[in-house]
Amino acid sequence: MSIIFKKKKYNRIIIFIKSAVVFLVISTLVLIFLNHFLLRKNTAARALLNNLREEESKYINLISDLDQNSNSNKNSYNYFNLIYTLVKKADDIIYNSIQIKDKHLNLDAEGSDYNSILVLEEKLKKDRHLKEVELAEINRNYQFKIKAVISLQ
Amino acid sequence: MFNNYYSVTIPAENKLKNLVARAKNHKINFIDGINELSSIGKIKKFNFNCHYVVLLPASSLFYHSVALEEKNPYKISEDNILNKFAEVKENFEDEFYYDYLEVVGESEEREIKFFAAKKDLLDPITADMEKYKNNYIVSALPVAVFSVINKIVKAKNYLLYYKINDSYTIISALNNKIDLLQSSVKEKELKEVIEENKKYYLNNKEIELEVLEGKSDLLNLGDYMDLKNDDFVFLTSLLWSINRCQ
Repeated sequence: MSIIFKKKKYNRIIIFIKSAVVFLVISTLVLIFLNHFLLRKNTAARALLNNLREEESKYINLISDLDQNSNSNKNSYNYFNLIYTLVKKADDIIYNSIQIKDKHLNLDAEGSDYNSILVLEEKLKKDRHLKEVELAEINRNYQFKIKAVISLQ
Repeated sequence: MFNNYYSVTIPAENKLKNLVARAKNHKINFIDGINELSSIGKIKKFNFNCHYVVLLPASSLFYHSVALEEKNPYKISEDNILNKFAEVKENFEDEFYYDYLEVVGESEEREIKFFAAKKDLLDPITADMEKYKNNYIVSALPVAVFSVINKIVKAKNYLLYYKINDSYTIISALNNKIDLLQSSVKEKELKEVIEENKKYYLNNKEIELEVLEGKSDLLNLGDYMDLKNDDFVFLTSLLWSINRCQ
């Protein structure tokens, strides 16, 4: 026996499901937005990183170029020394050509007599910057060719 | 597991009286006694794990007893009943919530005990519960009290009076069926009104009513709960709510 003026019975399961769906939709939207935002940030950061890498490689190249330049300067300096030595060691020798390729020296010259040529050969053999010094050719006009390997150490 | 809490709310003047209890394994524990609130939304246990029951006291109800004149005893025409009130009050259906009990006397006389409550008084009380989608039920306090007491008392014809909001409500029962309802009886008039009722039944129906005072002893709970006499209405309401909502 009862009098009922007003009565409401809400289905808890449906209310829960509705709330869960709303929560999921909102979460998904938030995640999509966040993902998009982070993706843009990531792209920008990646572009910046690439730029920095390019800059880095540019500077590394510059540094290695500088090293190479200093090496070539050193080599040219040594070759210059070598020529200076050759000229200094033979007063009566006329050098027709001095060819240096891959550290191999080909000397084409003309002497006044045999003795001067042999003296030069001996002097070159004693030089610490030259090794495997060899008198390759010699003719009657005292024209000769000397081959050697340059050691720049 | 869930819904072990029961909240019983009885409106008083410009405020609400509320009791929250937990009923589990045949034990009832009161959470925080009877509290006065401005709205149901301020109940401490205001959540989904609670049965909310609002019981309107007799003073805020519109009560009327109507004799049925239907030819078909198994069919009650609601329009027929409402027509009677339309003569008194226009737009009755729009302004009131209503429900009724059908009472069949020993002589097969059939009556409708009609109860109505004003919508503009009731809707603000239930607003919070609708807003937060809480399950609730709004019923009539005298009917709830009568329903519980009627199962306990041995007498068939009796007069029950109980105190609510500083005044008394009197319910008379004939053959274990609710008959008359009087509300807002002042304490000094109580004795006189009870005597008048007894004389009325004695003179007109030759029935002597047993007078029952609405107090906790009536519920035969013994030491089951520690209660004050004033808590009779709330305790009865709580028992009715637990029985109704389980």
